Amino acid sequence: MIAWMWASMAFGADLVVLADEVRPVDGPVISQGAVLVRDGKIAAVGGQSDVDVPEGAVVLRGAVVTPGLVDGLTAAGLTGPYNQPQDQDHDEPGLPVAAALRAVDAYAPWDPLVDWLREHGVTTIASGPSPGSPVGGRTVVTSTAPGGGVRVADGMLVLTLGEAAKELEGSHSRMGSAAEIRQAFALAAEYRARRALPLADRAPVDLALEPLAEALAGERRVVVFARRADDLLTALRLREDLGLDVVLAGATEAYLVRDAIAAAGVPVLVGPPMARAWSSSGEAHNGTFENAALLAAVGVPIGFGTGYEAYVPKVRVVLFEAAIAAANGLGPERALRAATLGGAEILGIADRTGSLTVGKDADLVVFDGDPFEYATHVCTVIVGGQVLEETCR
Amino acid sequence: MPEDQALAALTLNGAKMLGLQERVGSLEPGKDADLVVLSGPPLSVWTHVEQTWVEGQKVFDRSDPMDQRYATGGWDVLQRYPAPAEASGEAP
Repeated sequence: MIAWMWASMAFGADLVVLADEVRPVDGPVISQGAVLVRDGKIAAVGGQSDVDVPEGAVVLRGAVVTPGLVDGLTAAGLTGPYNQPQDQDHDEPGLPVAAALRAVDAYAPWDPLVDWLREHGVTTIASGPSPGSPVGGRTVVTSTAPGGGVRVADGMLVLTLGEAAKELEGSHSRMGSAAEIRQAFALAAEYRARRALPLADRAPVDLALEPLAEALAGERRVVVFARRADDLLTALRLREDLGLDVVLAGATEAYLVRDAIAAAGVPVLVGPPMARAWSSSGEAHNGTFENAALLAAVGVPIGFGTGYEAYVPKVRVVLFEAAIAAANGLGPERALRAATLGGAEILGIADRTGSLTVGKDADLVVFDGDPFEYATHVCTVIVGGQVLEETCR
Repeated sequence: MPEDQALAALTLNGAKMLGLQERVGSLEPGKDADLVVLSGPPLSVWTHVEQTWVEGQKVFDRSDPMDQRYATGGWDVLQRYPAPAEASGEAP
């Protein structure tokens, strides 16, 4: 009885979204389309004449329906809106090797900024420690449902290159930060070998070295946060030297080294095009609205990662950032893909979300017009089949 | 807010608040030639500023690569910036 009540509260009746345009992302746009949601999953996608509306189904209407948006790297849920110690849990200053930190242990799933992102169509985020420690902690991938819906409890390992790593950790040059990283991985390689010894000789567990050893073994993806072109090339060098599975994030100047990134086959979580140009010790000075378009043009797999925002509004909305990229060469189709499936692929959750595909989680956004247009509103947000927003804003 | 009111708020209403409505804020004979040439509807994300004119002088022209980089970013690395064709993507 209790199980039945919970199930009916969680999922309730079937849900059908009817829209002038269904943009599934993994297939062509469907005019006058329908999406059927059952038990939290997408049960059918097609034209309105092809999808039967089951008896008793709740019917929602809108102009455009897309998959829920994915923010591939943020600090939402770790950094709250009040900017006071009690809602700031995004870094651990003074720890150059902070790989033992797990974002899931600090993530606040009822934080108002998570609500804010969800209200603007974001249904999945990877939240991680802010740039600082050369070797940082690990991300949590979660839905933005109130109370959370953890999708990957222990995700990517975050490395930082550039001014943030210099400023916060007392190494005073880029050589110093890179050396911290190389030293940590050298220790991890030795640790890994010593962990394989018989018990009497085995190295004791080290929670800071464990994830690095996993990364060396190809068992854990590494996201390198770096803005400047020289730092991005250092990230590629570390990848090559250490044999890491690397994703770049931030990547303000990635367009200047796009061929090297493309040749390495490394995906990029493109940072916010509208980032303040003079913040970040001038590292965003050469930011361009065209960054995502230039990367996509040479075949670099892209998603968006709005990153850590030190000042109010503390988080950025991937929808608005993707719109600027879309209007500056990326175009609506590739921008929507990057903001949904592209991010999901980079996070390793494309089997669950990122497109309107039968069997995936029912993460949907209903708009009253062109999703990227300034005057358009997000009207309905559905996360895992639950209708969580019903006000156009 | 209707679109015409938003546009007025961006132009004539501000001019009135500054007491400059005799000179700027609307396109009328005799006023200063302060103009923006847009590629589409003024309040659309897909619209770009093509040209900006102040008192009859063209001060911004998107067809000039330097001006374009100044508007979209990358003006300080002009020599290393990819050619415009590389950045052009699909049209909306």
